[in-house]
Amino acid sequence: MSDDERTRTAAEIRHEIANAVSIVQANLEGMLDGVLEPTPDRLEALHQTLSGITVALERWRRGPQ
Amino acid sequence: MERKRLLIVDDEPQIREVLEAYLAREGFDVEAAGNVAEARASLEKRPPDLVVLDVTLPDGSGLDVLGSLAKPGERVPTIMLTARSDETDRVVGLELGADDYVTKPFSPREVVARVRALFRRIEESSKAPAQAAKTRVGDVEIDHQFHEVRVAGKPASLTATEFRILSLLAANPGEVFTRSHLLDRLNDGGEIFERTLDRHINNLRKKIEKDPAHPQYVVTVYGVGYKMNRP
Repeated sequence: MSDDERTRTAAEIRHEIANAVSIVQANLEGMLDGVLEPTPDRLEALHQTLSGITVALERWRRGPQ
Repeated sequence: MERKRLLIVDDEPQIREVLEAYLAREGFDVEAAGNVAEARASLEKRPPDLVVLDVTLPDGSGLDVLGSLAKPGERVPTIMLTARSDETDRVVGLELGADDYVTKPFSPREVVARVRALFRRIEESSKAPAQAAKTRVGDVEIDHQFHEVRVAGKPASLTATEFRILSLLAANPGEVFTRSHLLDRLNDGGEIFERTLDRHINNLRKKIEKDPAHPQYVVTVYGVGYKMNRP
C-alpha cells in the first residue's frame, strides 16, 4: 500500500466515523430536545449506526492490511 | 410575515430527518434532497431562501449544487456541512464560497443558530442602508435594493456575507474597522465567523479588485483591521 492509499483510507475511515457520530449526536439531541420521538425504530437505527462506528474503529486500529 | 423556505441537502436520511424536525419547529418551510440531482430539481422548481448543503453527496459534490446556483444576482445563501477539515478551505475559499459552514460531527442546535444568524445578517444588510438605494466607491457600485454589486459596470456575484461586509465598509469609506468591530457590526460574534472573516475578505477582493494581491478598495490596515479606500 502506498502512502497515498494509506492517507486516503485513513481519510475515508475518518469521514465515515464523523458521519456516523453526526447521526447519533443529532438524533439523541433531537430526542432530548423533544423534537424527535424516541421510537423503537429510531433507537434501533441509532444502535446500528453505533455498531458501524465500532467496525470503523476496528479497521482504524488494525491499520492498512 | 411569510415563512422562510429552506432546502436541506444531505445523503443521510437520519440527518435530514433531524434537521427537518428542528428547522420546522423554528417555523421554516423545509424541503429535503438526498443528492445533487434532487437538489437541482428542487432549486429549479422554486429557489429557497437558504440552503443547508452537505459537501459529499453520492452523485457528486455539494459544490456542484452551489455552482448551478451561482448566477449573478440570484445567489441563494448557503451553509455547508463538511465532514473533513480539509474540505473547509475549498468550501469557503472557492469563488463559489458558501456563507458559512458547520463541521461534522455537528449539533443540530448549532445548525439552527447558524441559519438564524445568516437570515439576520441578510435582513440587516437589506434594511440598514435605507437612506440610499445605491452606494458608490470608485468603480464599485452597490445596489442595496436589488442586492447587486457592479465593478466598472460588470456584475460581481457576492455571497450574502461578502455583500454585508462590503456594504459596511463602503458606507464609511476611510474608516478603519477592527476585526472585532466588524464582527460586532455583522451581528455575529461567533468563533467560526471570526475564523472565516479573513477568508470572506479575500474572496471579496477576488471579486472586486483588479489585483487581489494588491487591493485598492478593501485595504488591510496592519495590526488594526480593514478599511475601504477611495482609489
